[in-house]
Amino acid sequence: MDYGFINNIVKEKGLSMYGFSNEEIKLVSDCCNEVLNFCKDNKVEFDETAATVFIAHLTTLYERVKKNDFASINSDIFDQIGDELFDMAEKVTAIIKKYYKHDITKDEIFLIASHIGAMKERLKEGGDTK
Amino acid sequence: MKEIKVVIGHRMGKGNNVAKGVQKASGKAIVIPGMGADMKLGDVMHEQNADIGISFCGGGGGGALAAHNKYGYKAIYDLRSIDSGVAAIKKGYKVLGFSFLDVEDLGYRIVEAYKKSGPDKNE
Repeated sequence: MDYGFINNIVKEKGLSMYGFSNEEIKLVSDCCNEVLNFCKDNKVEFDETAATVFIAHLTTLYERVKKNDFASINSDIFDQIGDELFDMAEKVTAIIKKYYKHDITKDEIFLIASHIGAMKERLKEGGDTK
Repeated sequence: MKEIKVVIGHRMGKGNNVAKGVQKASGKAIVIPGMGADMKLGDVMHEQNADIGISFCGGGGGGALAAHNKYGYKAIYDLRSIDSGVAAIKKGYKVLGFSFLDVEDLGYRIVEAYKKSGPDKNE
């Protein structure tokens, strides 16, 4: 999967909704690129649809980091996320922290795990087939 | 009166409370099952020729963005309240992206707002 569309999505969402600077668009795009390639190297290769959703999420996450306004979610929602998924999400979070230079909360790690878990399900079903 | 069809895609395959509200307002609710349901929202809306799509994904509705990118549906994301969803329907948005707001009143008020301001004005 070629993730050449990352910059367009970050630009579309980051510029129109949050007024990101060019430097911020590059920072978030670089982060998304490393995250998606890490997942690919770990047998969870995102298809275009799931990557679009994940990139949008990481763009919004950057805005939340800036405002120190993290998602707060009832953990019951994440009852399907097991240890293996959470472990991989923690590794992805380490990459994100390297770029965003900020700690990421446990709820946010669960959200990242939900993206990885969703893509794993899509791979079982054949990914983008339509 | 035309039945208003609402597709619900929740990241963790939930959404039954919103569905109850849709049904209470005499709409038809289709809840996509399974983890990553929000990513299938556009596909199911297209298949079902749905009137409204609701995405729940924690961060604010990336599923809505994907539905817009793939099918060109007029979509809005990062919604945080029922009122913001109702306002979006009044403005003509077809796909609404929320964080996690699986409550009955959301489904009810979205369908009622659509009846009053949607393209068919089913009042």
